Amino acid sequence: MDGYRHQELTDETLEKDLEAALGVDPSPEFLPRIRARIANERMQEGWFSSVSWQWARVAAVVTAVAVIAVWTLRDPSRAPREAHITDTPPVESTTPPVDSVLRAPALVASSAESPKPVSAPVARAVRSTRTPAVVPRPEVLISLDEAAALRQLIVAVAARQVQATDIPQLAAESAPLPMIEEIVLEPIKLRPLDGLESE
Amino acid sequence: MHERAERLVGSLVTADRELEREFAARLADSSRLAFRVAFSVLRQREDAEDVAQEAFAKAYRSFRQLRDRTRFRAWLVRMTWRMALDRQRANRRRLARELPVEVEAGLTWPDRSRGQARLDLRETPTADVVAARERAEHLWRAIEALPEKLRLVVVLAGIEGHDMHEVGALLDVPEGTVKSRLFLARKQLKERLSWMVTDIRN
Repeated sequence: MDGYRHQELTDETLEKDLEAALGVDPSPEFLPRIRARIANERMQEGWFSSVSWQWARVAAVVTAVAVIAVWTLRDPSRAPREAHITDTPPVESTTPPVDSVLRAPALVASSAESPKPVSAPVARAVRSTRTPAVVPRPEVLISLDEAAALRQLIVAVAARQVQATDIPQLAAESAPLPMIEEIVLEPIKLRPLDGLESE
Repeated sequence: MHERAERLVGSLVTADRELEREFAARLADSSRLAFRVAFSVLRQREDAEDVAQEAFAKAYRSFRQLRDRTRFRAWLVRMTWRMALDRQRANRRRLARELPVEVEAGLTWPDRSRGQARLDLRETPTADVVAARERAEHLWRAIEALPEKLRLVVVLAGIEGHDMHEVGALLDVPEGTVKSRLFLARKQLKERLSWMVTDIRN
């Protein structure tokens, strides 16, 4: 039954048997199948992973980074703004000092112009910023005469030439109110009209 | 500037093509080796072809990253060997799962050469053929019983007439190590096969 029973087991025999056992050849379709598989792999990878396109991708990424860097450096008003805003402490006092009262708000003659609409980004910026230096103040629209009068008044008050109580309106407001007298209404009497009566 | 870019792209495309050509040459050169390495573990042609094919696909994907391309064969051998062992383990697990079902159903006793056995029945082989197959079966069992390091040396030395130096290069070990491993492997094989013969005689 056993092949080794009839033959002595020498080195040569063993060598021969090993070569015979291991010397198996693949089927004729084996190599074409591998080639097809490799071609499939190539197609799956496609141009996107070939060496030349890998270089192209690297170049594209480097270019994009360079463009972003140049753009950011050229426009300094963009990035640092946030830093300024966070660094400055918030305004605590709600009543502005006299000095700022004299200078602001800016009084602009209204004439016939309509107020400029505030764009959304600007509005957002105004909301997010808490420093007076950065916040653009809204324009107060009043007539030229009123503006001139107000300026004169502010200057006079500041120079103590005018007491706030001297202003008639304010004086009138501070004066005691007159007593309210009861209004007596006579009862209404209903009578037929003269003309209708004659008819 | 434009010319330089064109030249650069041209050289890159050429490098790509050269890489493809080189891989194709290595594929033609090493396909049989990969198959035989896989076959020495799996002993089934279809499985061995599948594993070798998979190994080449893997090699293709990583070929660009291979710094020393002269080491391709060694790299391929090790990769194929590992993959074949993985497949063998998977096959065994699958057989272990399927075995109880098949035995219960009275289908057949699981054997690795089931397909071959059916073929033999139809061919009605001669006594010599049967004897040769039995010899081969004993030899394979003896090879499988070897420790992995010895087994790989025996297989590589038995494939394509590799000498000690070539086997050493494929396994990245010194020639002396190959020599001693081969000596040990042959000794163990002879012992095992002699024992088998004695056992059968008794």
